[in-house]
Amino acid sequence: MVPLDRQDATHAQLVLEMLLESGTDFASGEALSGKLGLSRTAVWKVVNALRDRGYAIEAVPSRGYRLVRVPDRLTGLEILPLLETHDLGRAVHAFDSLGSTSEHAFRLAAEGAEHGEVVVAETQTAGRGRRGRTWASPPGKNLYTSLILRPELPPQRAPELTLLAAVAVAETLRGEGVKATIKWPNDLQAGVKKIAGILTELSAEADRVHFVVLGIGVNLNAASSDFPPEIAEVATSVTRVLGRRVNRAAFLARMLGGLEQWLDTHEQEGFEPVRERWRELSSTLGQEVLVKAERRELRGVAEDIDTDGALLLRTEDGVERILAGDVEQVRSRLRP
Amino acid sequence: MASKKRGDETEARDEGPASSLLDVDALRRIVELLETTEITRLSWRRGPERLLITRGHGPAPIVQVAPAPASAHPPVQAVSHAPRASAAAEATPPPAPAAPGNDKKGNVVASPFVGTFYRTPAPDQPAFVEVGSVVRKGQVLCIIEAMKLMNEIEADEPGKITEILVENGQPVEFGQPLFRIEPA
Repeated sequence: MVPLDRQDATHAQLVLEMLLESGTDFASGEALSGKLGLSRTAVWKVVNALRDRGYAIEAVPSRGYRLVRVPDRLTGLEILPLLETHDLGRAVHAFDSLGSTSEHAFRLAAEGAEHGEVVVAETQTAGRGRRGRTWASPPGKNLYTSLILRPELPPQRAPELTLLAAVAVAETLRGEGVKATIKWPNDLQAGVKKIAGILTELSAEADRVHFVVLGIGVNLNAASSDFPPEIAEVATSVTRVLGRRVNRAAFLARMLGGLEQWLDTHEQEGFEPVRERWRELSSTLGQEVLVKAERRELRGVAEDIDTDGALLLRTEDGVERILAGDVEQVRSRLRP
Repeated sequence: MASKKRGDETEARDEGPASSLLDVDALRRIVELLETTEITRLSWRRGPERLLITRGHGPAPIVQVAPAPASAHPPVQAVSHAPRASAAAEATPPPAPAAPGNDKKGNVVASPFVGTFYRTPAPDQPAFVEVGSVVRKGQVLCIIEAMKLMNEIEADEPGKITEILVENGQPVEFGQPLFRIEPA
């Protein structure tokens, strides 16, 4: 496969965008060369470069080109034509394999990467979870992505972004047809099984956020057998819920669109609208839960989240404000 | 005076001039006033004074008055959210975070936000640093977590850790001192 230089990549992307726009219709070679300002021969070369990369493109003399199949791969080529964002995902750093997308994104951000740059990998060899846990990352099946944000926020308000991300991912899953709910603070569940997870890392000074890396893992096309047995028991995927495969690039593009909308809302109206939506999507509130923190376990009813996103747990001794810990549902209760 | 209601906690801070400790009458009035409200926790500071009132389910509110800990970081929120496991534990006011005195050498590393303090990268791993560790600029000292947002706190200067002021897994407040580092 001949690597694409920057200009080739731009052309390939434009050709793809036009083919995607035409849908099941043909886009004429003339229209393509006109739009790109390239000769018909140059267009032909771009089409062949795309075919090399797994795109099935039908070419019919006198009618033009038609996109038949998009490869199930996550690179800028697949993601960029689908984006409807102004900032998020405008630069995509795609890898076959990384230790962790967040680790890489953190390094890029420390070196000056801009707001909205995205890291994706087909697999992670050391996907990160909370407190040293790992995120199972079977290759080519799911979405492993980390997003660099540079919000205008004091560091104390940065945790709001983790609940915001949960809202955006839950809505993207719902758009796909999975009735996802949020377990405090930002695990996504389908039923009682985990379908997506979010781990956020912050770099800040006392009064200023340098950047936030939003690490998001979504189980999209993984079968039960793709996970280690202990994970398969507690995890599910969109495919397992819906019985069909999901286009990962399209999912990512929609998710970035949703995130951007919520980030705009948050910037303009603050945390309250996020908090309200979070409550609607939460499976934690109203439930009797066990909160496992590093040094203690607390049992109580999850009453609400406060204006910082902390969990307010009604225990026998009063209301505890929980900032960190794993929430486990004890038994179902009706929401108040 | 700024006041911020947060769940059932109320925090208040008065940056007014220092004066003598509250008298008994003033205290009684405050406590009586609180009993007419839902407020279960009040923390108040003025100059060197600190007042912490915690109302559990017990018959009487608990009142603690103390001089504020002298600190290089005045905005320290002196209320400790130390684990409160039971009503019995509630009867003993949680200790104020160990506040370094002015006489000690070295610079304090303070928490940039409210969260849970971790000395280790994972529960089963060794601590990032110990008392006596020599650290370089930018070395990770600890993690503060809030709502699954992880913030690695780094040393902003090279030096030697002389004190670790918070225990692993303990909640910390904005500006609370975490470490003391003697510059190299």
